[in-house]
Amino acid sequence: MMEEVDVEPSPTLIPGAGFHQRHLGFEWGPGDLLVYETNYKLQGPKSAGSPFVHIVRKDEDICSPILRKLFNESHLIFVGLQKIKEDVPSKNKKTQFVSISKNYRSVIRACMEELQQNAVSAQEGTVASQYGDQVSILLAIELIWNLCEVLFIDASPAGSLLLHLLDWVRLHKSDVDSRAREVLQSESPTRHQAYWDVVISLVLQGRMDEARQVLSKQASLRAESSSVFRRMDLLLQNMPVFNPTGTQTLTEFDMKWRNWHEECDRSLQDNTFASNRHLETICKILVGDEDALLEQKELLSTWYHFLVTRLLFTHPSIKPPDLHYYAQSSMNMFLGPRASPEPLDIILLSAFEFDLHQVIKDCSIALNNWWFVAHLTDLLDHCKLLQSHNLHFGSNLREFLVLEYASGLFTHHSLWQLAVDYFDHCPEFGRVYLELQIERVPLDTERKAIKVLRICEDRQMSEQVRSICKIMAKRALRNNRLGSALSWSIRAKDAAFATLISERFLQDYSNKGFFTDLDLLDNLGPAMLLSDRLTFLGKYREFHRLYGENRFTEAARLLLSLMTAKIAPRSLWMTLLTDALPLLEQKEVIFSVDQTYELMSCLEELNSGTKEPKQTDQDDDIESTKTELLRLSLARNLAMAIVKEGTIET
Amino acid sequence: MFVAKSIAADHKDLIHDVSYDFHGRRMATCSSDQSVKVWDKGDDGEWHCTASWKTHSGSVWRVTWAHPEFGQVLASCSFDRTAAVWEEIVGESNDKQRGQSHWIKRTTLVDSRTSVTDVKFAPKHMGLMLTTCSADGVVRIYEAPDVMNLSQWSLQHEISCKLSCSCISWNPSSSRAHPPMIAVGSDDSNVTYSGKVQIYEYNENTRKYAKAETLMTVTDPVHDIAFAPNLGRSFHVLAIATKDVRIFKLIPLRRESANSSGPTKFEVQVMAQFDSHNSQVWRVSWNITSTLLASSGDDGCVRLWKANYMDNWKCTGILRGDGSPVNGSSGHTAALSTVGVPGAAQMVVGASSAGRKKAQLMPG
Amino acid sequence: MDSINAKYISQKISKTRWRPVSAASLQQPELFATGSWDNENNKVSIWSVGDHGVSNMDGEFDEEPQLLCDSQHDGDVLDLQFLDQDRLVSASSSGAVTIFKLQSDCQALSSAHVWERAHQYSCDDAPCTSVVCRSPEIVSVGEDGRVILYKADQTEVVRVIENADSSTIHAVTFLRTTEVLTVNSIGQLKMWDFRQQSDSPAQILSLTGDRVPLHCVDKHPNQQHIVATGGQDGMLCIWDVRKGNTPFSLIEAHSAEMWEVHFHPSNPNHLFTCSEDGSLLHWETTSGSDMSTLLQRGWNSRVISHSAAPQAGENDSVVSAWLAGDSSKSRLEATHMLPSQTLSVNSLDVLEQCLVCGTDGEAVYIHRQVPV
Repeated sequence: MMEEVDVEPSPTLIPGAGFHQRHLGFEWGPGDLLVYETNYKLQGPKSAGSPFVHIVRKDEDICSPILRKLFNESHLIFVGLQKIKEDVPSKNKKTQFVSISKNYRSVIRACMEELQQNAVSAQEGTVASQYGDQVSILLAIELIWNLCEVLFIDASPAGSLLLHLLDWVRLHKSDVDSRAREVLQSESPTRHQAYWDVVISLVLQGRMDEARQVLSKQASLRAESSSVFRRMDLLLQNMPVFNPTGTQTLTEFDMKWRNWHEECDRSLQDNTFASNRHLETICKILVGDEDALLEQKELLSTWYHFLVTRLLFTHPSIKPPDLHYYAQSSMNMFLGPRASPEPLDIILLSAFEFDLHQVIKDCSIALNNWWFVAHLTDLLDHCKLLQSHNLHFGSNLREFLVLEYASGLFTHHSLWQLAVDYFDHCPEFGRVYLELQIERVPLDTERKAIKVLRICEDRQMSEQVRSICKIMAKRALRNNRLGSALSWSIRAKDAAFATLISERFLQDYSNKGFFTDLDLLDNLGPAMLLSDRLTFLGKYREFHRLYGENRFTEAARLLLSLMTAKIAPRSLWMTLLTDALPLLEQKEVIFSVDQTYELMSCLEELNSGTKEPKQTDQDDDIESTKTELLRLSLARNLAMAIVKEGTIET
Repeated sequence: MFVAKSIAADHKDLIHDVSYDFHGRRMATCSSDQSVKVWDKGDDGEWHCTASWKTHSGSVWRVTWAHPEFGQVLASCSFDRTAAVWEEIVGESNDKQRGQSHWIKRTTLVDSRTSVTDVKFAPKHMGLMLTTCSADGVVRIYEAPDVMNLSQWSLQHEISCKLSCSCISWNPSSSRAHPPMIAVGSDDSNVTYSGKVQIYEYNENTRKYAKAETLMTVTDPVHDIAFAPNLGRSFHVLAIATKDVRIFKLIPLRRESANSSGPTKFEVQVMAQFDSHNSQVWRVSWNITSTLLASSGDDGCVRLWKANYMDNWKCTGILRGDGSPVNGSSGHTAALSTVGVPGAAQMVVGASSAGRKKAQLMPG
Repeated sequence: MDSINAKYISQKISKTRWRPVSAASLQQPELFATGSWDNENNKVSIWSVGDHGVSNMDGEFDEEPQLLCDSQHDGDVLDLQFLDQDRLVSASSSGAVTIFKLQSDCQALSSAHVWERAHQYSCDDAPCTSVVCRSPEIVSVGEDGRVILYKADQTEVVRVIENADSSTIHAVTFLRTTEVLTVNSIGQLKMWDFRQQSDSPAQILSLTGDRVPLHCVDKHPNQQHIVATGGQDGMLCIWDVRKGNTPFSLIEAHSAEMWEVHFHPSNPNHLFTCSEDGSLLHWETTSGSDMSTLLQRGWNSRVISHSAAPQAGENDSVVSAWLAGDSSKSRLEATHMLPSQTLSVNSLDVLEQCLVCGTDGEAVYIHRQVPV
């Protein structure tokens, strides 16, 4: 492994700081970093000091509305890729992986085109150059991705390897097409100053048919030299091209190609094209003359185009393991001995050397873009390419990069939802990262809270579920929405908080004399079992409803059971007994003999208990009056009940 | 990295601390001007100061938010030897329309005899607990037994550290395998040859905090200390700001017998050490997932540190003042018009029309 | 699925609505509105699907929707409804209800009237969760449990029902001229009659016991006693509001919150639902279709259960297919309308043969050949 480049990053400057005070204070936020001027030593002059708090963000790209489309569309592809089953035969998988790779690239392309359009239409220079920068980064990304697709994912064997490399070069050096069009559409193509450049460019890319078509314009004009042109036309026409789907073997192809190559060589030796320097140049290219190729630096424009062209005319059946030798030498030849290769060159070279780790590593350093390395590495990992290279940390690398990308999404105001699926597919730390991040999502509305809860509930993240519901309950209580608060604490299964809210309801009841939020209280159902106090609240409300509906017998039974089953807190027994008074005063006998005895024993139990020491005399008076009143009523009721029950028995 | 926005803080003196709330939608600032300000992010994405009040009769060193499960609660600590707990209360609706909120003091904690240097809430799974440390060398742990009544706080524990304390950090792990644990740093420069970081652990049996470990290798003054989120690991990671930045790994050693009641012993390893700040380091802090550590030092920079997938740490970002004086409103506009400086690594590839894709590296 | 068209619009979409077409013509709609949520700056936008929308032989549309105009929106757009052809009403998380006016050439959208803080708590703004329009009347509901009635041409609020609900009201729809239906977060369906002065509902219907929150409600366009609701558990409920207080049938439609349910306005045997689970379903009741055609067409049919036996003594001459019991020949069939399923489908709207929906994946999907 190559050593990591260990250079200090260039500092981001904070405006207006560092003059009055020597230190920068900071604070991490979920999405950004706050920075302010301060002094930790508290020496030297006091000053007005620190007027600003600056919000520093990590990643500019994530804010781009166009790149958002890339993030969203690629998320779909990523999720699709994770669904590819392990048990699919590997042959079928490869086709799937290649098509997924192509999908990713087409999303990059679409994004690039939109950025390009925006760059062109942008009025302001800085904006245009910002778009331009993004386009060039995406161009580099697509270039690297495409090469990785050819070399690693598709893993083309000898023969088709060169065909794919040619496609790769054609795709990324597409200005040939526009120039060809320009020439052909001009009034007199042959006199166009770019005429020969176009012919040669097409030859350099192995597009012989198109080259012939352009050449034919010339041939028809010059009758005197038409035989020379015809000769060149024949050479171009006869150049063998390997057909991977055909029946021809690679050896047969090699044989044919060698014959053709010798024929080109012969034409060069016998000066067939001496009369036309352009045709002579083309012929030199066809025989793979390196000097002649290097003379076309302008048209080749990159060392890797040179590499592919050179292979096309010297080793069309190149085998993957031999690539690195030609790549290295092509780069040296093309750039010259003193030129220092740039990061993109080094990355491509590492790819030609089949050093995947180096490619990923250099990309993560050189491209400030976790999107690319995370998705490419994930795909390569699915292709089982990372393990074979390095058993030690192959999947760690994938997880590390995917986690980085997903964490980046969480720093964005809106894109956090996308990150969830990425975390889901990081077996080691994905879950704990998600737990840490998801609870930080601001819960602006209930709808957003519901969405966050859904994510947590689907993953059995019970602590986060509890916490979110608790926060919502607390907020509802603050806003004096008791019903909502109770609903949220029921969802949080937070018994303590439910108890607390139940008490608020009971307190409200004793203040106002009626219950609020009946739609909720009358429909608690089994949820009321969450806490004793809530059960009491629900049952107590039920008593009032029964009483209101004149269902006295049921109401009486319920009231009594609230005390005998110890559902009602002792502090409320007097209230409950007082509630029994109107029932005792009914004309009809409601409480039976046994029930009356039970009520009496409740009353006595209450009175025998230690009295609150703080009670004032006045309170005492009221209490004792109530007790006396109750005793009287109970005694009267007992008498009536005995008579009634006695009557029925006889 | 780039400066996205600059907010005129309007404190009359030095800002000592800025604190985000749990969701990053509110922030609190505190200052030598003895006040605390609360800022809210509006629907428009702008920050508005919604409260500003005098909190102490001395410089306010630190301000911190309680977890939102406990409501809208702040704690502050000050040179005036006290710490205080503040709660936002529901006021009149026209206050909201004026963009103002009300904070009232729920309690003042007056047990310290010297400046209170740090204040931190304990992890929420422990309930509503507040910890202070002070120059008198005592760490105090308070608890609000009734979360609905924040005016009642009881002093649960007093840990005497024997050294002037500068900073505290709770271990955030909520795993049952890890008893509550707090690390205390000291900037005592009178005692030269003792460890300046002590780790205390709660003992279920004695119901007391007992010292589990002293990091003997840290003998220089310690200004800040921060446990990393646990991430489900068996070991703990602790960052320390002293004359350099240090990251320690604390691996609990297996207890000799299951019922041994002594505190956990640790194997202590140094994971990383950076001296790029040249001199004293004053603050260290982890981001949410502890993938980044930020530190601030005498070189006037904030540095960001990151470990790669092979646990190699390196500096991935630097923030530094541009050294320009700023006064009043002109500075404000200058700050706002700043388009971010692309500091982090970026590959600039020449436009395709230039014919050749040119890559230029500014490594990060 | 051939004629479905996706466009990524770089904002999470909370609502999509077709602009109504003039009642007389049988035109297909050409304009729709979107509302965004959870962006740093939210918007209401108007899009055109163009005149070129006539499909070629393959049923494919190459025409992408084009942005015509947009307007900033304070807070999340929690609901969006067209009041008429050139006005639409939004519900905001800031508690405001806003009328937007679309310029006649559709090149500009501007706020015409705002009821700021229509929904609020004692000291803070409460999100307005849903609005419904029947020009000139507008009704909004919110997390504050209020139901508010407005008239588009009056600045003052016409009527406020305080404490209409102890919990959050998630959605509202008109039942008849003076009656609205609301659904809440404890599984209740409430009917309100604005002719009554009392602040209590005319009727409360609820799911039995389990209190699963309801998120959306729509009524049958022709038979107003038939109402569909969708819940947090993805359950589709069909109610006959004249009979009983519990749903007529329960259908397991989605595996997560159902955000919207819509009867097809002109062919109400078709119903559409969308959900947090990332799917959009097209439901069709057919009378008299037999199992073999059902299988041949490969519908993705889901668990169907009916809570009650067919109602005896049905007086209506027209028995809706939605209320036919399971012993009849009618069948309910469901089919997925989106090619893949990931992030939440927050909203849908269907008009004639056109359907538009919007997702948290920031994509608008347009289907212009819905088989109805």
